[in-house]
Amino acid sequence: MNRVAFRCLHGLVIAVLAGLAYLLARAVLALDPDGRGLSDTVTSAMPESGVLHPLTAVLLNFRGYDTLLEIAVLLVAVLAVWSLEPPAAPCSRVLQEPAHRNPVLLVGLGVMVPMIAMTAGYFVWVGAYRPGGAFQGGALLGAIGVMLASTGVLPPSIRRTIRLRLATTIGFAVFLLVALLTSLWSGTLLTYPKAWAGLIILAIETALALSIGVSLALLFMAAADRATVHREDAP
Amino acid sequence: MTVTIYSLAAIALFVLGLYGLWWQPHLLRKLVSLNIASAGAFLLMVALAYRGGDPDPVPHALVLTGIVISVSATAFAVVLAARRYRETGSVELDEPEARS
Repeated sequence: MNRVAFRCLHGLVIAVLAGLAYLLARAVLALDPDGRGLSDTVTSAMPESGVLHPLTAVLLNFRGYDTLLEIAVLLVAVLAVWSLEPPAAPCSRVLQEPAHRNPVLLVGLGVMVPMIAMTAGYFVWVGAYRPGGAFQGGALLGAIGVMLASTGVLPPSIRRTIRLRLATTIGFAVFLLVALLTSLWSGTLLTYPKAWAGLIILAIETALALSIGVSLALLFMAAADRATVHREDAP
Repeated sequence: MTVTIYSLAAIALFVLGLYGLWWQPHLLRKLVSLNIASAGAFLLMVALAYRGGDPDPVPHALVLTGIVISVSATAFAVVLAARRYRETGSVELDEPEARS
């Protein structure tokens, strides 16, 4: 392609995107500025949800199906990354570097990791009545994994033990089990009995937080490990 | 008014991200652009949820779900790109024409 055609194509791309931006802006500005969406529906259904915070109620009860599929996507992502990258030798190159023997780093980790884990547990618990829940807690647990991996405490090519696999799967498994039981019990998928809703949501959230944390950390480690190989292979 | 500003900024982010995704040949740049575009989409949903006083929790829940999906998709894409680099030695998609 010569330079002129290239310029023309570039101009065309920019024009199409500018048109798209214009249409989107028109659509957004045409919306009712006082539109309340579904917030009134959610507010009126809150007593049935088993929790006091609307976001948790939507995520784990009213739209539980979305969350079930989401944890399935996360699991599929881990499986896909693992399938692309067969497990490396157990002793990874990061372990051979003495960086993680830095005493200040180790003491800092020793203080921070338990505190982050505690905060993650608090987030899961507090999700019933305040902003928080499985995703915030899971993200914090994932952060622990990222910290341990990037300081070299955990090798990036972590061994895929059965315990690790269980921790990755438990969120989806518990959620699926609940979906199965509720569909047998009440005939509809993920319609919790009102008296049990709070407990069921807490159980799902705990399992979800663990799985989300482990999956996010594993995804990070797989990506970081590949990036390391990439850098060392570079000419 | 605030909602309008945030919504228009979100649309700008989204379109900028799409531009990068479409035009940048390097896979990592495409990936960063994709994340910018999804940040725009999330911002738009959160901003629109704020219309009419108290925030609507349904778009917020969708965004929370979307963030996790986008993180897992990004990680998968990074690994795919690294694999492509190892297999072909190239971090760009096949573009027969010379750029510039």
